[in-house]
Amino acid sequence: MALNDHDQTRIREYLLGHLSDEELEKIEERLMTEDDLFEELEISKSELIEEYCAGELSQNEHEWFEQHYLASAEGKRTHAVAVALNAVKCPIPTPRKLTWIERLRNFLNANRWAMAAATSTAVVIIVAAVIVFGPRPSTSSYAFTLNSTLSQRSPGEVRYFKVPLNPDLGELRVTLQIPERATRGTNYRVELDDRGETRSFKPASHDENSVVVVIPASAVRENLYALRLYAIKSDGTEQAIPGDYLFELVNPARMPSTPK
Amino acid sequence: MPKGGPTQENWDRLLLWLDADRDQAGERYEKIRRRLIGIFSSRGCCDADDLADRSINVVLSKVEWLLPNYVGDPALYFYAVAKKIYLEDLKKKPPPKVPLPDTAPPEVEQLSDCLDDCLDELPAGERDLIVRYHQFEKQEKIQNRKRLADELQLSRNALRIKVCHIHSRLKRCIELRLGEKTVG
Repeated sequence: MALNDHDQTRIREYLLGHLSDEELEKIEERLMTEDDLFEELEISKSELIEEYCAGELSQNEHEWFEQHYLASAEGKRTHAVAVALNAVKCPIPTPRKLTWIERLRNFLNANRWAMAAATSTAVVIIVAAVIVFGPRPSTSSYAFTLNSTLSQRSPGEVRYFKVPLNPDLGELRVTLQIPERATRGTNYRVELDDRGETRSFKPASHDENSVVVVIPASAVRENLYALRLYAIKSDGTEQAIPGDYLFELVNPARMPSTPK
Repeated sequence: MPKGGPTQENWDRLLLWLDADRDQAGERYEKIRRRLIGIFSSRGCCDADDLADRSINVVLSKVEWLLPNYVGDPALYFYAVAKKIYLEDLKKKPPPKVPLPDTAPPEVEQLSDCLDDCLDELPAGERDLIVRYHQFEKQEKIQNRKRLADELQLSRNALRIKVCHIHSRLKRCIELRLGEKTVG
């Protein structure tokens, strides 16, 4: 039986504890016999976990979902995968910037024993804390993974990975997947090409299959970019890894909205 | 049910009850078990697998009578038994205090590693789809998914189903890899 919007709503209500006992039995009987409805249940579970993680559920719904589906072994597994998926693919959340006084207060709260030791030491700590924990620009990091155009299925089709250029963007943390048959290096160099000039970056880390490069937001603007990867061999020579890694920085406000 | 668990004879009867074709019957059985687990999980049962198996065992103990007498969809009989098992279980033990799911459990790093590996195993188009599907939050997320559906010339529901299938494969892959890591 084909699903309709009412069924989708019903399944959400089922998972959020909004159904009476009678309604619950009816929907569960249908879940036992209708493939589409059971599929909808699986989809809704994932979507509700997303909403749960994003704090988009009401207080009652949040608690119900937590004490029911998320209490099950399956719910815990799905929740853990959703958290991992967000941790890898979503912007890394950064805590609200603290003023230097807050930083200093936190520091001292965590180190009360140091206060008791000697006033002179405390003065040194306070001075050091002001220097170390002084205000820094508010930044956020945007992490994403790119594959070489070499490993794309349709080489004719050039696709730029769209990255929102948010005003508080501090850095781009890009993971470049090394194509399977490409030469591995003992180290790597990454070149950023904005179709006008190229700049080199030293990777933050690398392993057998990927290279992570951190690009400060100050080095980029709304534009199309290509990253190129060079393997540095043990004798110091460089070999270009074929293919480009393409991305586009887009002002979120200017991202095209979908026609209705 | 005779002591010592279900007999082979009863299993054979159960499969015959589900479908005359043994392969079809096997698939049907798996489907019913998966749905019982899904329902028990939705009701918040920690041991949904166990409850599903207990329900199946009760059905197995009655299959000799069911085969010639029961009229209707066998899945609904399984469900009727499952409801009783659930109520019995609820009486036996009060629902445990549920610890709040940790948004950053220590295993997340391990999970993330597995997820990375599993994403790598996906065809480039599907990997790209999953990465893009999970971008943004709230209104931006909704707009992003509309755009994606348009780009792929899919209805929004077809996109949800497509992503759900990829999620299922990712989950299976992650569980497999986590299992390997535990064994290794």
